[in-house]
Amino acid sequence: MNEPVLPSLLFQPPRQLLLPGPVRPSREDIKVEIPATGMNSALHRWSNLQVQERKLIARPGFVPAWKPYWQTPKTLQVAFPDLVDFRPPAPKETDGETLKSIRPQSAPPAAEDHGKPRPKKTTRIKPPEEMLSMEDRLFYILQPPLETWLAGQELVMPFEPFAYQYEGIAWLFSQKSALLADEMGLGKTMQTITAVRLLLRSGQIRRVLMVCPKPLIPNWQREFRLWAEELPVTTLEGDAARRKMLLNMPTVPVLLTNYEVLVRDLQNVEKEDLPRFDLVVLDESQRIKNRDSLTSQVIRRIPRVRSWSLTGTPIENRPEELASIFEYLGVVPDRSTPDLRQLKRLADVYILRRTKDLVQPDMPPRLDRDAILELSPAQKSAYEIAEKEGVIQLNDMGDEITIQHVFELVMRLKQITNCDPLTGESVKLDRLIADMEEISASGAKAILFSQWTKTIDWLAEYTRPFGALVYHGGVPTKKREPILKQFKEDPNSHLLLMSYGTGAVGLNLQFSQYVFLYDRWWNPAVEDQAINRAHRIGVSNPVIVTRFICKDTIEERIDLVLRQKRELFEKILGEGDSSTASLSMNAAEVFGLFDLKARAGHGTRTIGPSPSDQTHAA
Amino acid sequence: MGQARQRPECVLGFYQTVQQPSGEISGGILITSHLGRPIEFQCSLPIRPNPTQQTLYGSTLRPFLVGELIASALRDRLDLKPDVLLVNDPDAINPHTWEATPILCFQKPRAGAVERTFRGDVLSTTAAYAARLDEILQLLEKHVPETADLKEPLGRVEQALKEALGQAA
Repeated sequence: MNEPVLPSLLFQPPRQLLLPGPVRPSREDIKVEIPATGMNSALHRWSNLQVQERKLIARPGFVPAWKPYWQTPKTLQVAFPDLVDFRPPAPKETDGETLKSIRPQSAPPAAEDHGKPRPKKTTRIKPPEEMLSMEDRLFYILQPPLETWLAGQELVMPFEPFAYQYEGIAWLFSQKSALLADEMGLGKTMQTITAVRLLLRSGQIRRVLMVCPKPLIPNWQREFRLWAEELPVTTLEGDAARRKMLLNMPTVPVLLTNYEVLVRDLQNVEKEDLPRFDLVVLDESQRIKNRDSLTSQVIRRIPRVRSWSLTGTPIENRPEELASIFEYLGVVPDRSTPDLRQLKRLADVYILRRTKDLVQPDMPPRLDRDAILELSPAQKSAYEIAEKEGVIQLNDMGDEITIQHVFELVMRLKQITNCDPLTGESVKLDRLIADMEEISASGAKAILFSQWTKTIDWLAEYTRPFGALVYHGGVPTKKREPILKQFKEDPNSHLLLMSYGTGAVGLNLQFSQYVFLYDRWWNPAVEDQAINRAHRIGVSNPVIVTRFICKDTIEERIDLVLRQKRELFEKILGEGDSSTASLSMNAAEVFGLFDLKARAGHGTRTIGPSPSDQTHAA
Repeated sequence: MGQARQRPECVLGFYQTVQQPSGEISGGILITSHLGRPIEFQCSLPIRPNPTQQTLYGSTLRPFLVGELIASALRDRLDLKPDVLLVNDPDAINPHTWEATPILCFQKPRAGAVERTFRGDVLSTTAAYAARLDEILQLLEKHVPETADLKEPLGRVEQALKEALGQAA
């Protein structure tokens, strides 16, 4: 075996050695070089190594092994129904109003940040607390912000809703049981229609039953045309056979009806034959405040998935009325009697209520003024005689006296305060004419409310110079819309005479700056509803409300009692919410008006007919 | 009442992951129309890498989980494939997972980033999609309304994931 040639570079001899100490002289024949590094020149030679292959003694006992295996993550799917298309109606040239698609408001220049607009506040749909299914909760969470949804790409909105209205729509959209109790004038109708529209368009519901008082049918039709023009709205009308067909027709998305027709058509239908709905909406749901009434019973039997209720006055008299609405919503057991604490807890979950002060701090104010009037001599004489004779008669009746007897006397006295039946003198009319002269001269408009159609017709004669129009239950339904239109558009029409029953709910008359309450209703809630025809969203000027109260009469006493009672129900729906303190008088209080004691069993009975009944009275 | 459209003019995908303090990661993809209306949502149940996996994957663990493992599982389950995927996490950009579906990110990728400004937002992607970037942006420009906030659906996905993980506020 030849020795390998080593690289000369490695083994070059050192040129000079610097040894650290004395060095023994070396022999010439044995020359050993000792480099400073200590290497021996013997290393110039290759070691004579022999390599032999040997087997290991044994294999290692453990071989670590790892494969990059991952289990595929499990997944969860949420599918969204396709958007349901409705064919929009052909545009009408005679409408006069052009619907425009809204766009999210562009931020003002001051709000811009580095050239990019600051994102607008958005309203997200939240799943209800009680919703347990994960898929259902994700369905709501993954919906786009309402502002995006309604931005005009897929759904056209005629006007941009207010922020609180977006919140109301989002809340309704996700609720199976809901009582929207916004103060009158804040747009409950619009919020409901938009929520219904979104539910129908997103395939969540297919059949909606909308129930409202009869006078409000045209209002709902109009509002549907405005806010959801593509939705076909069918009014339940015609003969019995046609109505039955409509009630059971599955392809009618929105069926609009009134309480009376619905009760008449369904009261004798067997439960299994009742039409089913995905959503039932009750407008002015105080109509079912009495859970034993036929209306309440019939409506509660209707099979439905979602139950909504709309009212600005969820409590008019007693907490039990709210319990009745909760029973309809299906959130309390049948016949249950929740106490105030329980009602408050339920209200927190199922009631959404906003007041004007809360949502519209900049809204022009409502200025209330009580016009305390002295009766004219003729009125005063007639009043004193009627009261004296009436009280004597009541006392003479002894134990046979009923609330109805007292009630009749109250009504008679109130009518005298409106007008002396013999001479026609009326201090209220004098004051009204004086005020109207000023109002008409300024070009403004006023609404007047009375509980008697007869009084309204009588007033119409004297207020003709102000272009007075009459709107009460005696006016045929078909003629009512043109009257409202004329009042709005005719510059010579300055006064609209309305009854509480027909005109107090659902109408938008925010172009009126003045409201007169010619006589007082039994319940401040009804008065508030009436006033809010004018004082509502969109109002641009303060609304001046004048309540006519004749001094030293039954009106003054009733007013005092009602004022004292306003505080009780604030406890349920929140402090400062004075508009819910809507209490009519019970029998004991009516007896007390004449220093009479209520007879046994009448202590908590409320008096006064419903507004719709009263319209035709007297 | 007519039938709904089957496929919108432009389908957008929004992919987002959420990591819990315990280390569990879950992801979700929201498929929407070009108007932001939800069509489909897929989310994964949380996965938690064990210590060995953490050690052996090292710094590549998160990009693997987010960009590959979770994304692949979600992609495979999608009924409707998006025309473009939008993400907010550079680790989620994985061309191998999404192949022909372009990915746009609101944050800059770690390497090979190509950027464009689109309606005030800087959108980035990797070199793999650079050649198609202009074409993708044209698609968005054509179909997505000017007022749309392209980042917003990612917030929805994040909230949905938190809800699914029981973290909803």
